[in-house]
Amino acid sequence: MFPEDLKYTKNHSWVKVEGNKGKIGLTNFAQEQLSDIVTVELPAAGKAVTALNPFGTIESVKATMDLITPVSGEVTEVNEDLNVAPEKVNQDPYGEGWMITVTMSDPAELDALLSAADYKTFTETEAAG
Amino acid sequence: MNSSLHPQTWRFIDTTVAGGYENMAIDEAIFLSCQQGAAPPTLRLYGWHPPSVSLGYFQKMETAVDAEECRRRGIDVVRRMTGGRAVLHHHELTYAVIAPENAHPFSPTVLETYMTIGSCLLNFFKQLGLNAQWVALRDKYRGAAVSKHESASCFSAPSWYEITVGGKKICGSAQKRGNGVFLQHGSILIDNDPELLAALLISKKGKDAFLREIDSSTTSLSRHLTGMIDVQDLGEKLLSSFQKTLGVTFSRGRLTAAELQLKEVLLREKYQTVDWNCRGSSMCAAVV
Repeated sequence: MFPEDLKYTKNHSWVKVEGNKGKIGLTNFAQEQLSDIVTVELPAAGKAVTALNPFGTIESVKATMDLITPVSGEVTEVNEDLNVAPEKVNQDPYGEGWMITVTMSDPAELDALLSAADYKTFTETEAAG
Repeated sequence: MNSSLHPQTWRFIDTTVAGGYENMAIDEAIFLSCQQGAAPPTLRLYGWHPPSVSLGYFQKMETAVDAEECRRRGIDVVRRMTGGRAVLHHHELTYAVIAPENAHPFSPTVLETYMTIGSCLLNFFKQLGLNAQWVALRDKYRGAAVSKHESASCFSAPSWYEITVGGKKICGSAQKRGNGVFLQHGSILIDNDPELLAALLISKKGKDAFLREIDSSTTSLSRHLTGMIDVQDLGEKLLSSFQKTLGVTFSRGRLTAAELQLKEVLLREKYQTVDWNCRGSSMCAAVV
């Protein structure tokens, strides 16, 4: 599951660009690694986030992981559903499991992100250890 | 980050004893240092004085621990950077492994990291003559059942791929990942005191049922080994087991000057603060 219309980071986050906004979430590969997700901690709307830095934290039954934003900007929307249904990240990581929307401050940052094919290759290498 | 790094010398930081705030600040200082590429893969062993309760990153103090009772007994309460449930750190040997996710011989998956470190621990227990075993995957701990965290204690139930002796949990671990580095720390119980644990932690089941649960599900080295248990000796055996199991060389070392400085900042600005430990809960802040 590597949707072609998304950009990816090596930290297993994805961004879907819609105009000057980026919708951000965790990849299917990462949610499979983490297994059952029990808590998602997201920033409040209005918070500034910086590319390739943490914007939140996710906890599964076996690990806690920083959530890394692919792009810089201001958080404009937060998926509050994940407060009560964190399992949506497992069930639908590219759909109902989205996390935040950011108004991008530097769209040129997108150029440094991975394409679906590059991210797929990266995960295959990762899995091979 | 595309394949296992070449084998390299790991750093071993020998057993030191500190309070909860300092221990958590040291672990995070090494984690951040490793993220910056300024620290080698590290195994750190440590103990706790004063005894401390550590809370999982997402736990709320007011629903997990009796903060007033802890303060009355001189027990620190600190929130961890790792998830999971509350742990009373008293008579135990604690380990922390901090390394790049693909450091030799690790494979950068959560589960395999657990399994690799778990193999080191299994071999350690076997070296002590204990019949330690992996806990089989138990579906009842999956999904929603886990999120409810019915019991606040990490040791009240064996979780996925944990290690037990005689069917009872003897060590518990938690893992944090970020920027290509993992930190896994865990407690090996030397002795346990279910009554103290039940007095300090909050359980929806009520203290008596909680006490029975802990007692029936937890064990410690002192229940299986005869004679005095020498913590330094345990530490050497654990180091030896990591060395043999991982197939890496360890060099005895200490925190770098930069890590010590970082630890002080983390202590002052994070682990000793009400904001961090209470996560902004005024009810909690009033008793801490």
